Amino acid sequence: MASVEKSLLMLRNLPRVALNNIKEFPEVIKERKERHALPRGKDAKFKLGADHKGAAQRMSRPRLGFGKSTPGYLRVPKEYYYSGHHLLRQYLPISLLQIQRLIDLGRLNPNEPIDLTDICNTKLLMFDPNKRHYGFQLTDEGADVFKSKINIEVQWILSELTIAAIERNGGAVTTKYYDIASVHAMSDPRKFFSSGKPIPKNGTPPLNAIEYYTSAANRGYLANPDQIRMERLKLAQKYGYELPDLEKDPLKDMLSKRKDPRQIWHGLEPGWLVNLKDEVILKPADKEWIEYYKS
Amino acid sequence: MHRYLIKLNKLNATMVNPSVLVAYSSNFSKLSERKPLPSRPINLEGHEFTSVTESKEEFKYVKKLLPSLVVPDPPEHDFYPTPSGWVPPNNEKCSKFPYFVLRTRFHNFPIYALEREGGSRKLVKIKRIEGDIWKFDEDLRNYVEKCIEKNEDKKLTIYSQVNEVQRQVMVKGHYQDYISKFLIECGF
Repeated sequence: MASVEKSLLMLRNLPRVALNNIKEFPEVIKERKERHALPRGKDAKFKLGADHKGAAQRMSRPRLGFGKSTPGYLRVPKEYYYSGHHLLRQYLPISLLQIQRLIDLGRLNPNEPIDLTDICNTKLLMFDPNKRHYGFQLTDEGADVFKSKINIEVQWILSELTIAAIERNGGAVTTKYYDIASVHAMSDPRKFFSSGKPIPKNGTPPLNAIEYYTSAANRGYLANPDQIRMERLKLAQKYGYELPDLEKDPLKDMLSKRKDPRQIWHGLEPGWLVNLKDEVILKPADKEWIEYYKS
Repeated sequence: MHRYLIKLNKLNATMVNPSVLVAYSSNFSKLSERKPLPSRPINLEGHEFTSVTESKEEFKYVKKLLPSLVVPDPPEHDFYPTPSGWVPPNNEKCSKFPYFVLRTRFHNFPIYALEREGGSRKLVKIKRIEGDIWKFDEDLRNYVEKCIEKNEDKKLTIYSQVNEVQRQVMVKGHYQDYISKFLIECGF
């Protein structure tokens, strides 16, 4: 046996270094012993601890953390727990059970694509873009009960069970990002049209949301459609249901309807101006405007 | 100070010429004819507007976006209860009882689960009761007691409070599931 292997074997059997088998350096121990042996009381050469006279004797020294040019509470770096919290995007939760109830009571039309505007138009949810609500998140409560075949577009989905519950019935889900100007317009269309502004062009998602909206597992609106088809199949196999054929569906046109990434309403394009009184739409004809609103 | 002012006024009175007064009044007349603010494009020529094309075809998409001002009637379903558990009122069943519970304008039961004293008192309020409210209260309590005995293996007495003026009943304990079951069985 080589010496190296022998020493390695020895190392393996030796006890590990731990708190119970370590000692201080001998110099430290020696020093402590010397200090301990100092004469005290009347034999002491000098006063131990607080000297006579001065701040130490009168106990008027500054309290802990003070006494230096920068006090302790400023010297220690800080990390606020809620820093940047007021800038986060909020998504109002809406469950599958709530969606099903709205469909049952005729508040949502399952034969048309459902989006943010349709849910806001029920006027049953406290949706407020001024509170940084960027849309709705679909939760999986009532996934077993859900029976409708819908084409729904929400802004956030966290559980894949939600996606599975919709796709099991032959429906379709997409997650889409809207910037705050578009959300303001979509949450109250009548108010927006009467304000006399052209329909806004939807912005691109911010840096921390790009990964979410480009992934096919989340059914993001910027994901590759071929990958989404693959993910649909994968999810069907994972949860054990047969994926209904979209090609043979009578509602195929409705289910395959998707918006342009820059578009916020079906059938209407950014840059158009809606006149509610005369029931007329004004479209820009200038080259510059057309190019500005082009996606 | 007053003296100085009086002196100055006297000086002004002596110094004012009729020509100055005319100029002053003409300035006033100019001020009254104020022009509109420059930000208002009222005097813009036709060629300065951006050109647009009008169309009425796409307005059908706008009509879809405008919310209905009334809560619509629920559509007819093939079977009840619906997937979400909603049941329409049954007129045949509910005609047997001397009391009646109206639906809310959202076609739901007027049952509200409440918490008082920081969550230590749990209550359920039932509103919009018509007819013999005392009989309704008695039947409801008996039904909930039976349900608890059947489902939870417990013998409990249910306490309730009848508000005859406001046509409401307050039940102690969060038994909203059993109460809604009772209302469905009555056909309200």
